[in-house]
Amino acid sequence: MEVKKKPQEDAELFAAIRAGRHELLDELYVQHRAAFLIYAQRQLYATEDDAVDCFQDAVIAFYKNIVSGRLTELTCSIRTYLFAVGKRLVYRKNEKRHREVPSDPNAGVGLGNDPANELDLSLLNRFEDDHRKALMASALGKLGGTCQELLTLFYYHNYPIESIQDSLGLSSPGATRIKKMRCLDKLKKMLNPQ
Amino acid sequence: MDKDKLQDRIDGYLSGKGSPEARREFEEEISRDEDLSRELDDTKLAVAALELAEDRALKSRLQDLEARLAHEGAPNTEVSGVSTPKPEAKVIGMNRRKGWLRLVAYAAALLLLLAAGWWAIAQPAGFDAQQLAMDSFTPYQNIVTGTVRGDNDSSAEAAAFAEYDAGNYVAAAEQLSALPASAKYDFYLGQSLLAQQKYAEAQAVFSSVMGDPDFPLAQEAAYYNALARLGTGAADEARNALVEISDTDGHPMQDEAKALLTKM
Repeated sequence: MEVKKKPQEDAELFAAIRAGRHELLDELYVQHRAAFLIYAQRQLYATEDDAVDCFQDAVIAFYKNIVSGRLTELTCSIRTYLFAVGKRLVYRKNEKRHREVPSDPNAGVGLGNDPANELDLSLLNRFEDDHRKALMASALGKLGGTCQELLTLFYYHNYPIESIQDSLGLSSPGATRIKKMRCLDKLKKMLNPQ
Repeated sequence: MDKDKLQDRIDGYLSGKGSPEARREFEEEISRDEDLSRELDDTKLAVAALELAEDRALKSRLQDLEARLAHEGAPNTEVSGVSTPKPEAKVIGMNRRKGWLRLVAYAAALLLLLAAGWWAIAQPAGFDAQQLAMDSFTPYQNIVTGTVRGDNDSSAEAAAFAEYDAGNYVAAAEQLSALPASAKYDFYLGQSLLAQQKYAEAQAVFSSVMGDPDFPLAQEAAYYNALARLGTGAADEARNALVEISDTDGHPMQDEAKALLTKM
């Protein structure tokens, strides 16, 4: 079995993740987690749970920007990048928390308050969004493990067909392409039954 | 057209591949062809479902890792001291005859307290100027084009800001420099240089826009100028600029300046 070398430097780690070694996200997480949690709690007044949550999302955002091709070159340290994204997420969470502070329910009554305000609409949007997400999750649940893995490797992790063939032990790139088409058709039909 | 080839074209389009001309042609084709447009929408929906599931899987993997780290006793990162329950300390009675042990324990605890106090006080000073500048820096949100997500607009401005949004600051700086002279482009050029830790260059750019009375982000530019100064090591100049900002009521970066001053 091939033992893959653990990248030490930022540039090496970035290149390895870009090349498809997404297991290295754990490495990244462990490397910068403690510093971020202290920073977010001390300087951004985040709760410990929020700091953890935002740091996880920052690591995921970093990865998604790499695989989607939006982040092609590392122009600052990985820590700076993660802290910048994490900081923005903490701000958003802090703002949301601030908005959720209960206020006097009678405040503003009779002052022209419109019940169809932005908050109400955003709640409605959220319910619709949740419903849509539930539909998506249920469709994927019925898709089958190999199909989901194949499509995820292709569309999410941006693996080339040849790497997917290797990863899933399929017979040839052509067979992998055919399977990908079939799986995609199946998923489309489940998401859009007509 | 062959269904596989059609899907390949859709996949290529969604992943941002192809020259701007080819993409434009494809978009025109989509606007004319209902079936193609439907296939594209269905693929987008399928990709969204996969993305949602994999985001959740990644999140769950990191949550498991977090739980393991917490269980294995990763360095304590709790600052406020409220949320994580700690195992109760086991209390062992000390033998009176071994009173000296108690004294040693008190002395050790006192030393520990002193060390912890010293460490807490010494923390801010532990940052060097560049580190502090970087730690305090968050690239300013793109409010020129909004976050660009590989949409159709292929103008030079959109391309530059797409790089900026993606965190490709080298490419963003290059492309912003090539745009017509404008304070708003310079402001984001300064951001891109600062992100690359090119402090002196960033400072020069911010200096040029912070004095522009017609530029709506001039005050923000003054703050980033102070950060860039800090990065160059000119801590006194940076401090003076930050004091001025923190003393200006209603300054949009007043809180940031105050927070930064407490660490200097």
